[in-house]
Amino acid sequence: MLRGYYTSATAMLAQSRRMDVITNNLVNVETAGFKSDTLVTRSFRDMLISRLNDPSVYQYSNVGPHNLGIHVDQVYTSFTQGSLDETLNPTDLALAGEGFYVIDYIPASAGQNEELNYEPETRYTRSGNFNVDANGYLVTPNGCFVQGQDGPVYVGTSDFSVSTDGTVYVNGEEAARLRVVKFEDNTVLRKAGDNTYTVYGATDENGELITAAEPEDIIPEIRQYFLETSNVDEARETVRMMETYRAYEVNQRMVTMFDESIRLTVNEIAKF
Amino acid sequence: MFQPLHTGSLGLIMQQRNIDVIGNNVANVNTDGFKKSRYDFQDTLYTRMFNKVDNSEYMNLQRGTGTREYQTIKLFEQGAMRSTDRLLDVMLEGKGFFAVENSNPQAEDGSDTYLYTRTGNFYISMVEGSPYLVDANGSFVLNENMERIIVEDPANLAISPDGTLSVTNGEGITDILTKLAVVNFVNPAGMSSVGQNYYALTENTGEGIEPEANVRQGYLESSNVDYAQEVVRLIRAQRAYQIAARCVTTADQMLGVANQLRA
Repeated sequence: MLRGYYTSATAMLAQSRRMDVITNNLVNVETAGFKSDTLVTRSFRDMLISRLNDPSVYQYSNVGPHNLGIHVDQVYTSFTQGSLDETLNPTDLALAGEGFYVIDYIPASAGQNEELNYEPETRYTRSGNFNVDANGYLVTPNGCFVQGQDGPVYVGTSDFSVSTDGTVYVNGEEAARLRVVKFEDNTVLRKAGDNTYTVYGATDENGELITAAEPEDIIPEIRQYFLETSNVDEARETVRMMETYRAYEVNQRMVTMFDESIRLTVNEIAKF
Repeated sequence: MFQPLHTGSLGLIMQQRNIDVIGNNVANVNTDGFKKSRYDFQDTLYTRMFNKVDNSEYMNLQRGTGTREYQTIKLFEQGAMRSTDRLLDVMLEGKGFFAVENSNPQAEDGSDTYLYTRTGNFYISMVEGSPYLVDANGSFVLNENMERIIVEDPANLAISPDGTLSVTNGEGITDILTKLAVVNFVNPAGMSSVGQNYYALTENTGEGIEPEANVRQGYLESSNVDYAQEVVRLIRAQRAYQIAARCVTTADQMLGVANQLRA
């Protein structure tokens, strides 16, 4: 079969995947703490084309390399700092540097059904729009506890203050310190929805995470009364969307042209 | 379904809801005691794209599925003080709420017997022959024991910063009546807005705590909506809406291109 047919088809598939990632970035342009994704594609390994049945040579000779198309390689999340938006809300805590908050994640639906006895999972987030729950603890809007150095952070009311290094003051006294961690290699993080990240790293034979994926605690730079906006650059994503669309279109033309060639081959040339 | 089409449409729907919240804020820019809301977003479930070539599981190959409401949070910043010089107008300077009796309780467990408000324009209403202190909707304003308040001589009524109501007659004799209910909760943002400037308790509100508010007679608290800020938020929401619409259009065009593979 015409190899080019499949090459162009791989390109269409890859551009379609790229479109998925771009549109997700664009609709999350107002999501606090959101980090932009980029899809990286890669060519298949080059194949060598050989010359067969050529009476002028005595053995196979190589014509040259040929490529079979592209495939999606990986999604790269860019953790550049988003700009800070002043909200004047005391429970909004923006991270103005590296690092992630640590939360005890329970899916919002499971929290309501106590019989499920859901074990909280450690997740990480950049989104600092927190609330105070009915018992006075600092939580995310989905009800997950935000971790301090000694467990969940009790603030009592929404009348607390947080200094730049993460110390929480309730009624003027130091009550807790927020836990902020940093990863040596951010590529171990996977987005998991609800503005959270999980760690996805290599595990050894016992199922334990290999150390490179362990976070380390750091002294953060936290700004109370601010939220970090998403770092999506609408202009760049829109241009990428246009490029993706045109690449999709041009490869569709290629496929159609190959289809036309085959049609000619089958119907015209082979006519008898 | 073609994922970008769905993602783009979620963007449109959620920005529409954002604009609804902004519109409600702007419509209440002159409502005394009104507290503005803000709509926040979160991203949704990520799925893994398939990479047949390299089976290494450790490459990040996620694609997102759009956006969703994270929270619609009520912001209790203090509104501006507005002087009215009317003896029955009060405002709370600080954290706390007035309590009124719910004239139409719905909950079977009695949880909405009382409603709470920041709007302090009160009036005298004759009910069964007695002059009761009521609010603009006719609901009885309550004292610290959650009882109705009778005010015989409203023309000489004084309300001190801690909420004590007193009447001083012509001879200079002061008669202390009672104290206004001023309450606060662990999580006021967890109260639900039930209209007419009232808030009702929910399971997220938490228990009552000491309020930190001064009662100011002769003043009303303006709405805390900052018009300029809402306009900026509206511009951002409209821009995001346009971008989401562009995603939907482009996704649709891509589907059209695919359809033309075999015209």
